[in-house]
Amino acid sequence: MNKNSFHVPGEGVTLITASRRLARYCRHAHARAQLERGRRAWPSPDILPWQAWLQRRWEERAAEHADLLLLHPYQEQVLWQQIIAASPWAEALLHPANVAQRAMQAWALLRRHRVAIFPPDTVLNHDARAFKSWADVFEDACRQRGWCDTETMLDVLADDAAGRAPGPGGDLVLLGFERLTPQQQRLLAALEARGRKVVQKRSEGKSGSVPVVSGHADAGAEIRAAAEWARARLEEDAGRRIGIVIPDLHVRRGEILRQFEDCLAPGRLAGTGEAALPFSLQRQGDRGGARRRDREEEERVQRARLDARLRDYGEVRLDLRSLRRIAAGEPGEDGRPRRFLDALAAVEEYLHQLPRQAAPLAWAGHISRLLALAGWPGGRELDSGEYQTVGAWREALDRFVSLQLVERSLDLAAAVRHLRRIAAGFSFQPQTPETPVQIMGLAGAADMAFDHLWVAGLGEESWPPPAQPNPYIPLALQRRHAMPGAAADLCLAEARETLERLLASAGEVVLSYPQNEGERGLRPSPLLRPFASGPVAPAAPLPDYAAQILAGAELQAFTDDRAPPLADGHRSGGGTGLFRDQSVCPFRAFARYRLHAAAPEEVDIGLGPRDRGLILHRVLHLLWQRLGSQERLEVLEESAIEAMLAAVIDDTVERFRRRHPLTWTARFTALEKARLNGLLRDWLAEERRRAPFEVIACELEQDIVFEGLAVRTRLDRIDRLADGGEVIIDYKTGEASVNEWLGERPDDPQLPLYAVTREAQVAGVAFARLKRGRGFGYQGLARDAGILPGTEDFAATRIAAQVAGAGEVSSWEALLADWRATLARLARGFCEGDARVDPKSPQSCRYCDQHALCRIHETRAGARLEADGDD
Amino acid sequence: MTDRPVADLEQRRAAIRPDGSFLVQAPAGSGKTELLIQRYLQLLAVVEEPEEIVAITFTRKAAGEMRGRILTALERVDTAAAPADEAARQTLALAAAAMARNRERGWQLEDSPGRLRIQTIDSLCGALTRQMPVLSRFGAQPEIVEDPGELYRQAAADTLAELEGGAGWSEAIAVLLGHLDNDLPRVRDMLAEMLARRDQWLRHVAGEIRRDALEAALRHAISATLEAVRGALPPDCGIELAALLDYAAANLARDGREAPAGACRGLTDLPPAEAAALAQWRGVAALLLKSDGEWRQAPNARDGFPAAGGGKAEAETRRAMKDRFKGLSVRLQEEEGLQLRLQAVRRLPPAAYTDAEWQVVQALCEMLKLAYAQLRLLFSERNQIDFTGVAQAAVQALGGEDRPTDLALSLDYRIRHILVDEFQDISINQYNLLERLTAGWSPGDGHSLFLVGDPMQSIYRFREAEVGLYLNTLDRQRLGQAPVTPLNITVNFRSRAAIVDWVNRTFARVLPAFPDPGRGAVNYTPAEAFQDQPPGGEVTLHPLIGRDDEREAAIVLEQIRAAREADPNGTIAVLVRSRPHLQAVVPRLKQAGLRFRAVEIEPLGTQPPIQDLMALTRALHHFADRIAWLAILRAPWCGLCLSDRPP
Repeated sequence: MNKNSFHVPGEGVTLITASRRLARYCRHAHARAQLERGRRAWPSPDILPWQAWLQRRWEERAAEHADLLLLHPYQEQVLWQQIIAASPWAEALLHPANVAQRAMQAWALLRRHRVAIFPPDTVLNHDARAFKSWADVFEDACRQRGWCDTETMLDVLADDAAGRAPGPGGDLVLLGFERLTPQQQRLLAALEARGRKVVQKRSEGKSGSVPVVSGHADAGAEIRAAAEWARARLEEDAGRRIGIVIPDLHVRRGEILRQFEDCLAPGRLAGTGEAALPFSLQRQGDRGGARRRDREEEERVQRARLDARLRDYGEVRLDLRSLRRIAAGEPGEDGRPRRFLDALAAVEEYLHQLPRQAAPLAWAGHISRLLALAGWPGGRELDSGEYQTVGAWREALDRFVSLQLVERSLDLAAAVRHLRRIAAGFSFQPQTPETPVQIMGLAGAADMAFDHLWVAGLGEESWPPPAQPNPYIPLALQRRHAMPGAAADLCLAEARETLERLLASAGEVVLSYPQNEGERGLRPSPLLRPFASGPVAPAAPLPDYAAQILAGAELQAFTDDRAPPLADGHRSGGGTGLFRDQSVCPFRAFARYRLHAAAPEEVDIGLGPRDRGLILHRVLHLLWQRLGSQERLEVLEESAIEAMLAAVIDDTVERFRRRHPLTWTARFTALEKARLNGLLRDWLAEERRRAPFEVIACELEQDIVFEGLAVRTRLDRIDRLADGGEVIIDYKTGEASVNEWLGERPDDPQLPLYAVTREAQVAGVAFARLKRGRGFGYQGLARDAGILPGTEDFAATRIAAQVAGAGEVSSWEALLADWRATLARLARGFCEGDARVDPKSPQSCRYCDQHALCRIHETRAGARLEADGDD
Repeated sequence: MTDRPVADLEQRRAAIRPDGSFLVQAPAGSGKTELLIQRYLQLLAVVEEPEEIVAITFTRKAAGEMRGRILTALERVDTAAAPADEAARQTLALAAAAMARNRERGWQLEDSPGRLRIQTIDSLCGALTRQMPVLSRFGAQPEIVEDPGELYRQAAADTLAELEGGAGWSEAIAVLLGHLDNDLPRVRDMLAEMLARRDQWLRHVAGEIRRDALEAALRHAISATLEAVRGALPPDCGIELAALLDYAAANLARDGREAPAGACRGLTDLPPAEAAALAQWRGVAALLLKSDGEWRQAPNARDGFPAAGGGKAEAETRRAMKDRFKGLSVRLQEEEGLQLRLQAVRRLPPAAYTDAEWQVVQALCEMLKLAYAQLRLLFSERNQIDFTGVAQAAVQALGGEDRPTDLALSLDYRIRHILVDEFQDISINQYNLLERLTAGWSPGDGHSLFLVGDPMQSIYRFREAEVGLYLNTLDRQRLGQAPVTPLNITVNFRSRAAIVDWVNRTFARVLPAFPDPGRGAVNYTPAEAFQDQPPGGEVTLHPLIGRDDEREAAIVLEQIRAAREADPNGTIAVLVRSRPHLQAVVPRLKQAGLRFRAVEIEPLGTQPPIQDLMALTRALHHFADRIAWLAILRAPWCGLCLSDRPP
């Protein structure tokens, strides 16, 4: 237990710390000391961080003088933004708003080093000139309106102090300040001149502690080692104070939290909040503090279903109206997410009432109301972290309201932009109980006292950190005034100093670095050179519970490729795709048609292949309904056909357009009509090349039973030839080839199924391939030559020779018999519950979405799949 | 390595002279990195501050290695005994001089290794934009996105959404969509791909697009190719070739057949190498080569050489003409490079656009500009940027040729020396950057530029690299205004003589005979084996008939075992063309208990545990993801069977 008395100011003394964390730490130390002395109540010591102390002094001053109004940092930022945006430089800048932050840093540096903008002899470059013009405007604006910014505040206070007669006031003790800026020094000197005693203290060094250097395979292993080390130290003595310093803490928060939770609280379930952990992480601003957490448990299922419907609807962006229309369309009262619908309605109504322009105060009210209407934060009881987050959100709203000073009137979008920015930059430290393990960034560690301290990330490239001069201040000026980060020698000196302080702040110090980053080898910081490496890990590694559970599992290998057979007369509910899947991979047919395994649709812009297919089917359907036969097509005037085409395209497009008004904009509609028109004209030329036919059915839906299996069929088109023979046609907007009908395992046996289940005599089957480019036109097989353009008599084809049983009957008959046998086999397989994972080829798996369910990657076939995947 | 003079010692010595600028061609295994290090150390000894030297490597890993080797060399100055081999001795001497300078100037390099500016070009660009926020137009450094594919797609989608915008470009979008089947996702993806390569086209579409200028460029490209063919044809065969073509054209006309040679009616000599004669040149190529690009042995009626029928005299002529063709063809087949050039003729585009094509080209250019504007907007909204954007901004910050930025005012240290590794892989943006950084440098003014590369290794086409930039630099002996002296180092220290010889023999045939900057073609420059290499080492080919991965893997394993037996401590590398070729090898190595290091070889995403975790994530993410929920039930932790399905 640390009992350093310097952390506790005496009577009438104010202790000013460099950080909030240190102030909190000192208050805790004081309280502990009092308790140990057996006291139950004591006067609060005057301990506060620098910023708060300044604030207090400012308030004291304000009680006497009302000449200046102190700006909040965010107000300053908006002011800078406005100035930069109005400057001639703004137009070319990628992100003017961000420039403000960098410019404010430059402003702060110059103020803190008491450097004018700029001294007369300074040579300015382009960037510095830009900055100077902004700073001049900023200064003017503040002067004219009686505003004071955070950085100038010190100067005002110092001027005040210098001008006043000596007065009463207790001593000041400063703790944790690595270096006082010239501006701070001036203020303190002025106070001293008025008779106040100012003492700068440092932690009392834990003399004799020799740090141990420790390299780890990579940054992840480094964190893990630190966590295990912390646990080992705690196991030795639970009362120890342990500090972990991780310089890039804020970017690696998630990983750090996971590792420490795993080591220090392995029994906890993930995601149950941070409140009860035996360690605490310093926060670096909580991005998206107002993120919505939806816990409307009872509606989860309905909402998921709505989401699936929205995906099915297929629009990338939705307006509120369409969303409500679709949400309300869910059949059955139980299926609808009622709360969500109500919230939507309320939000929509409220949105209509909003003013176009308003002041920040009004917007804060509207936005709070909108959130409440949308159900945030909701009725559920909040845990401590969430409660504090909501509190922080309210504070962020207050900050937003304070913009009233600089932004009188704005629209909703601008208001939301401001709030986003405020929330993103909002740094709030949830109050956690004092924990034995403190994890912090470099800045948080100064002058804290620990029993054990681990400093991670001390690699060659990060320590000393590279020079990063501020681009808006001429370099010569930065070097002359030794501004932090201006040059390598300054960085080196600072790094040395920081390291010294860290070494002095604990009895045991470990300095660690990662040895690799991916494929790249890393070296330790040269500043670690004086110290010896040594083992730091506990002798017995922590039990790896996950590994133990895994090791305890007895995995059993078994073949799982048979489902229960189908009951007689079972309706598969599926269409002919069932045969295709059964043929290509029996498991897929089982998953899709018996388990109904489907993933939510992916949504994309424009028309997807499915919609394109539907549109074309419908257009052709309407067209042939009107034409009826090839003869009619031949005799009709060109103009009549043109009119007919226009009519069927208009009819179809109108139907789709009504359903998807957001996709079918005016120009898009015109383009799609033109596309369909061109495509159909070319297609009719193909139809003219055929032997005479009459269309006897379009989009014919039938339920058929094949080999005991009931399936739903939908024939695109059936034509009758002069001799009464039928040609079955399937429209294809993608690739298509007759090869897909052939072999033991046909890729697409749909047309063969139609062919063998038609009662009339089938003279041909064909894909109508409506995809532009090579292969546009009919691709098919026909009993006789001349039935389809470019298709010879089947007996003469190469395929005929491969069909078994030819000779006794005609080869065409044999083909149909072959198809019947193949299809019967597939139907039997499905009915019997054959569910083998047996893809016909690696290509069969390429566009299949069932990999997680079929577990193909557990097999050799899966390995081949991968091998083929990225040649 | 022992102490024996190296054949190209003179060149190596020259390459480290700090007052000279060089372009060094250094093949694999030639000790290129050592040379870079030596030069870097040499420069350290003459500069005021270490930051004045900027070394650019291709990857962060290479930067780390180079920095590590330089620091090690500096550390060894005080401790190491004189090394045996000449190169190491020289490195040590240079390091000693650098350390002396370090002490003299108080750099504290040993504690501030970050002062050595050895970095990738991306990180250099980042540093430049950070130091010149207004000039680079960033204002503040945006987040650099390593994989900006999503941003490109979004910007492309935003572009298409402008279809209804009603501005002039809406018409352009409509034209392009009409041309591409009104397929929005496809057009979006194409635009996204173009955005990824915008450094290659941006400067071309920025100004006014003029049809005559583009067509002149087409004609220029065509005549350059025709020039090459014409040059490759022996001058004395022109008349014979013309006669054969004229004969073929006459036959084609008579038989009413269509063939490219039909355009050669009345030809008496080789057609001129001009775009106007493209049709005739197509005739030449079509007659001499078959459609698969191989030499035509016997022409037939389709080519204008009918079978020997008809009257007796006619038959005689036909036979004779076929014989003459064969005679000429046999002769031409001897001509080196002719076949490749004839093939190139077949791929030539027409010399002019049709009006419809031109409309599409115009619309495309318009849209590319719009897409770029949308991308900038998106970058600005999200405060993100890609590497190309950083490089562009850096170039921007350095100013134009007419108004270069005064870097002395803007950079914290003046850049006096630049070293570039892997110069063959430089992109046009990066080239422009070097051009601006070296603007105003002249020989003897204390600046130097050092470019090292091996154009023969540029075949990987890594991130839009253009080896043509290397070849042009070599050709003109300067980069921008900065002159560079070409040097050639040829000694290979890594491989044994037999291997070097084999590579010399083989690659001389694989690579074209002559370099061609326009096409990025590079010829082979032979290497020499270091004479002190022990004998042995050879290249053995193990041919397999057809693809047989298992058999191949077995052979690989056999070879590894043999090599380990011969030298248990030797290191062995297995190279494959692409990852899938290892699918059979890796399991065998594991089975044989051989330990090996393989980077990104086994795809994690398809491992069953990962698949299970993804299913779990998907299920939690979306309650309606039925596949994921079913997959969870079937995963090992639950283990339901297909037969467990409730009725």
